[in-house]
Amino acid sequence: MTERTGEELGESPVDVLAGSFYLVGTLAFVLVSLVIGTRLVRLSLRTGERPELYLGLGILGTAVFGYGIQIVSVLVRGGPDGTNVTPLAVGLTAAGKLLHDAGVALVLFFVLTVFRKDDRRARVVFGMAVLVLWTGTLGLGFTTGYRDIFERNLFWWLEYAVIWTYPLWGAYESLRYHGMMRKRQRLGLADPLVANRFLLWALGSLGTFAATWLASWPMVLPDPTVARGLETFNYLATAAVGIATVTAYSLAFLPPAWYRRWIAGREPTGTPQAA
Amino acid sequence: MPDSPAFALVCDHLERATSLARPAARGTVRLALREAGFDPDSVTPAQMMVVIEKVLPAELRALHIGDVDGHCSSIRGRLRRLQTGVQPGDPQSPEAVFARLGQGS
Repeated sequence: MTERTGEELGESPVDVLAGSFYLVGTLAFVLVSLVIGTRLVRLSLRTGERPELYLGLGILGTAVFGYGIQIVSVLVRGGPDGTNVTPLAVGLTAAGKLLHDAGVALVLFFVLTVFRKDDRRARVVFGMAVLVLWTGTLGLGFTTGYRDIFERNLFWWLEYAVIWTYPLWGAYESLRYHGMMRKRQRLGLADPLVANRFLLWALGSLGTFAATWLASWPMVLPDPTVARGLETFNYLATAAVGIATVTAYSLAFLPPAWYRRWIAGREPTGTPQAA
Repeated sequence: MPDSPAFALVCDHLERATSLARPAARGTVRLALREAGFDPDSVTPAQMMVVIEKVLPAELRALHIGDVDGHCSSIRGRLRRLQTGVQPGDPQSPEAVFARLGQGS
């Protein structure tokens, strides 16, 4: 999700509608992420287990504080093209970026510890990703001072190389595990709701990947007028993907009773065995 | 990644008690585990018991191994003894973590 609001859109009714939809999608994304992240952190405090803490803080860092503070920073600047680059606006941009990227590192650490905790190659991949991400983030700060949100130097590309791709790792691992859980279900060795949660988290991760691309690819177009021309479509597409992503995460982490019953009822297997 | 004790136990039995060489024994058990949706490094004795009961016999018969039921019964007995010294489930396993993720309060 980018840091735009409906107010910055053009004047046609379609543009206003797209802007409103985008605003609703962004708000839903941030609010649902706040609820899920908080619940996971509280769950970790209750169970004493770390993976839910990593994921909860990762969601809070990326979707809530990262995006939230960066959106506020754009508003303080007077919009994406705003000239009100005050120390407060710059500070908010820096804080938002640092919190977002800390969240990205925590989500990657969650994937590493849950799916590949004994895999040396995965640790190397994780280390490389975090190194590239933070080299980009901090390098951007040192070279631009976070004053220009449209600066696209080498460090920006390093940072976005990770931001654009990190959800794919979790999606791949979760889809792979979903396939294994489906096989276990046939033997009565897996809970259908848990098996479905792997699928939902994978879909949510793919949605995050798609929304991030949709929201940020216009930033790399050489001609800003082209990006402006595609703005309405981009807002509609980003908001639609964002709402679908939020729906997947909600069903994964906050499954309502009717959804639990539906999943349990459509599965051919009986009660999972104690294994 | 190291093999789980349950995987090592079944491979060891097949290697010693059948005509299968070590690579073939490991490959056969790996195929059975893949069919059931498990990894050799994390499968527990309880999960392996079900694989032995429902998946492995067909794999062994396809290889023309004799007395499949006898082998499976022997393996189950050894797995049961192994199971008594093992925790019921790893709270850090992906399925345990994802089971908890829906229980946030």
